[in-house]
Amino acid sequence: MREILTIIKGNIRKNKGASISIFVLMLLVALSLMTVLTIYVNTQGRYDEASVETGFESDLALLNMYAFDENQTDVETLIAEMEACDDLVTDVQDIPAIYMNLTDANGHSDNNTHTFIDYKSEYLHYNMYDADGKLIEDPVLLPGEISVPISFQVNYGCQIGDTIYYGGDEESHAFRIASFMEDPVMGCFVIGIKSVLICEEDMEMLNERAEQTNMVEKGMLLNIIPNDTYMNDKQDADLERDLNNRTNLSAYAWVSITKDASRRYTMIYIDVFFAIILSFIILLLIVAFILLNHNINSNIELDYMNLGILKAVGVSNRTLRLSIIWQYLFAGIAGMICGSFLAIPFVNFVHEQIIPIAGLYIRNRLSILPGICFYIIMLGIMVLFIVLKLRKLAEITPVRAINQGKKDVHFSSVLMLPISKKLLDLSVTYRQLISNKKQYIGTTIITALMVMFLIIMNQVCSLFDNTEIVSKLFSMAEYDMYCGYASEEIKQEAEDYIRSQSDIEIFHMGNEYIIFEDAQIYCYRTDRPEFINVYEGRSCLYENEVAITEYIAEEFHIKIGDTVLLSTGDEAIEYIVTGYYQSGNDMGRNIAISSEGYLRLTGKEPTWRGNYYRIENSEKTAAIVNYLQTTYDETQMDVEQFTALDEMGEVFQYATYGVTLLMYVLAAAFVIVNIVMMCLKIFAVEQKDYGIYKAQGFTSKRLRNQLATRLAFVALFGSLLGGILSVLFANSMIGSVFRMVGVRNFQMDIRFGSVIIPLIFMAILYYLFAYALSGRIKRVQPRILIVE
Amino acid sequence: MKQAILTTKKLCKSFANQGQQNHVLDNLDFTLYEGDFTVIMGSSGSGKSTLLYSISGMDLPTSGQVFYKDTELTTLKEKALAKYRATEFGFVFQQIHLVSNLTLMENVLVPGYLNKDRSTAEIKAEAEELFSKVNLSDAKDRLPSQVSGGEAQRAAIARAVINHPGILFADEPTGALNRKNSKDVMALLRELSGQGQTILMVTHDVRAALMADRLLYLEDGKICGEMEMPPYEEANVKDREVQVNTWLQSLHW
Repeated sequence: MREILTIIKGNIRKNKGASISIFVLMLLVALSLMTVLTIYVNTQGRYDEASVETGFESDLALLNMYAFDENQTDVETLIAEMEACDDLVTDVQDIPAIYMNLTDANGHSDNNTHTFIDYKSEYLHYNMYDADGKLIEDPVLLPGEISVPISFQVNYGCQIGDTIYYGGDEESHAFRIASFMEDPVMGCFVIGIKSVLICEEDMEMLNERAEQTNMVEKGMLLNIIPNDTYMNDKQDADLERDLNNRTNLSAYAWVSITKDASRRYTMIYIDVFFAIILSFIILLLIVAFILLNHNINSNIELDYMNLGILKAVGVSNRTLRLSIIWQYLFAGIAGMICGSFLAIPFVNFVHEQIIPIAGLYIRNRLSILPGICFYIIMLGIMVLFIVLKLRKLAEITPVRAINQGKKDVHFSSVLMLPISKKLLDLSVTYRQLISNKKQYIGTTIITALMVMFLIIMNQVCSLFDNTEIVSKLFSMAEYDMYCGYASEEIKQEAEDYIRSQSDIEIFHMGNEYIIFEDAQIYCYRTDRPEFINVYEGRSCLYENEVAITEYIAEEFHIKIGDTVLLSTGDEAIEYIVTGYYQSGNDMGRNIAISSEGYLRLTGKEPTWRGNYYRIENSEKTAAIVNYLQTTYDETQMDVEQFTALDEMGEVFQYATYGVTLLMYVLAAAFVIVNIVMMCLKIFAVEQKDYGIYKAQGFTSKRLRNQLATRLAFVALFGSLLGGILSVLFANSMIGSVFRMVGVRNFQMDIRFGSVIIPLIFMAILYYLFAYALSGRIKRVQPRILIVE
Repeated sequence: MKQAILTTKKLCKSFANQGQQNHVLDNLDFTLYEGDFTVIMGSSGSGKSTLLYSISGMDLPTSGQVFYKDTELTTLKEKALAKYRATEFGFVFQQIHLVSNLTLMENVLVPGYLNKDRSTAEIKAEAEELFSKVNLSDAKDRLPSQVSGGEAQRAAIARAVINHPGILFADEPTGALNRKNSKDVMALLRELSGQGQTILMVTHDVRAALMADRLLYLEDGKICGEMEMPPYEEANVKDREVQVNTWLQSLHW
């Protein structure tokens, strides 16, 4: 052991640079891995904890109380009917509620319906938090106070103390935000419907108002507790379908949210970015092993003589192997430990960003155990890798090692070009490059992989800047602007003006939840089905046709031409699936029918909130919108220009920008480590050459430029390879990310800008850092060539 | 009257070794004359090679001055020194030192290319001529690893003179060679000297020293002996050998 420690000490002293490089690599990998893993595990864990604490088990149905009146029945009858299905449910908890639309929250008025619940509800127990994110032990809400999900911060920019307004034109109720609540069911940022908490007195007051105005609506939530035996082999969605099938629940619930669906919505961002960053970390690991391989090879080559001497004095292969393994393990383990500690502030920072998006108060604690498991696997692979690389140690005989030292340079290459006077530096650089091509294979692969990933991330970023593509990916139908009018006269005036600017197409669009194959699904309806973005098959032009997303096709195992059942709770009617379109709504879980299809389904003519316009000369849209907004006030007209990205999309966009930036930073860090390792080896191998060149009259600056140019060449070559890889794989990789948000049909051309930026980034990075690190060439004096 | 081409004044070179200063060159005054083949001899560690690289721009002395013609080298910046190394000085190393990934011809051409005043064709023609002179025409396109030590050293001499240097420095040029190769290399240096090339050579080899016009003996960083030799001729080699050996014995060689 003493000899191993002595050898390790010597190795570390001699290969300080390499040990530091391994330390930095493992630190970066551990930092990224621990951060991402912790965030993923903590968010998942908090979702489960919060669900248990709240009392949310499987399915929460929001009932439409008017439907009971219409059918002259009551909630108790429905509950009894559901509880009779005791093979499905063990309990159905009824929670009185009030439905009201949010009219103003810090200037936002998206008119989303929110569900008011008594904060002392018998069944649902929501945690409440103060402005510092601390759990309030015994929360109290006074009349006029409200507790809202933390996602209000992102949705509406709300803080504790702000006043928000509910109701409508005729009646408005103001509430002061007293605390933030944690709602695992609907609390996440992507769900428009929200639960809010108020006190008993306010509930009573609103119940009274509900009798007198339609701005306030009485409601009821059903918290369905499933039968454990049933759930052993079934999913939450199966329970919903079976209940819809066997009871009249679907006729009375205007929306129901299963735990699986709510988890999917809550985790969507985390899942997407976890997938992206984890792929990147795997890439970093591959890069780390390439660097490790390069490092071990270089060290054995450069230490050939020392290894021979150690063998000559009786050190066994095993001892040598162990000393090298431990040398790397020490650096690796130290890097992992430091990386794990450094992850703490990163985790805290990311948690702060995620809390309002997921709507969950995620706990700041490192996922030590899963992290350690990953580390052990990584170290295991590392040891295996080193052992394999060190097999050649046994081939070194002491005499051969001492006598031979470094290998002679023998090469012949068809790529060889003569040394030219005009391009002296360039031709010398080129010769250095091709005379030891193997040395640059690792760097080329590393650069190619990094560039491929950066190009892909650039593609995603550029995609968000392209309204047309985003619109095709996430919107059921494209339009340029939307107008809601207060009167026919205003509508006539406005449309006359719009027509005077450009030819237009007008269509109507609406949506509601309906029952599709016994499941509650978001359904679009439109009077111009030909405008639906159908990419396979055709649109639902006739009354018995439905267009679906591929997400629906996969979930329900249906395809174009199949017959499906649609209903609004009563009798189900058959529709034929005519084609696939794309829409990001409900993460792709939606369908579309025509006005005629809607009439056939409901027996009612569809009503429309406003008009959607397609403006032929779409460049004029902004001017038209501006004119209408300045000419008419909000009470006369509600006008919006189409934005490809809604708030959710914008958050996704910013998160993508953030992750891309992070990847550039990590890629740069890895590339720098690679440059350090490359330069260390180049100096060791070529130090004599530098002395010779200097003795011939080359300046340090010229030699440094040659080295930097050489590495920039390698970077460019690697980048080109990365560009080719990205052309081959970008669509499938980005497509797999978009599948998670419901987009199934993804095709995008590689953009010049996306490719050229990483390419230039890498070349400059390699050049600058190689130049900076080659400062030690200045210290190489021709005297190293002189033997005293 | 001989013309001085390089002079040193109070030249010192010290190395720090475990906190102690080791004075390898000690206030050394020395003049090198144009056209001379000067040989420096001395025991190991006497400072011969240190003197060579301190005056050739390969390294900086600790103190003192070095004048090449009218220029004080010791005040020059690295870039200017590099220019002197490229155009005014040629250097032949004991361990040969050719760039491993350049052919012998390219090793000679590269310093030639650094001379901006000459065309590529001119440099190539001169290199061809040099290779012919050093009897390496057949090996010029080989890599250093593919030729013998003698061939590599002859290529190194060709490289050293491609730019017609004012001084050709040679640090034990035969130190790594066998007898036959040593003889060839020394013949080549003698030939260059005969053509007027100023040469300053460090050697342990008495046979190599016989070719000199002037011998210097270095001991403890100081010149403690000097001998002028008659013009070199093949016929008087034996007499020269006796003369040199006697001189060296007087210096306790």
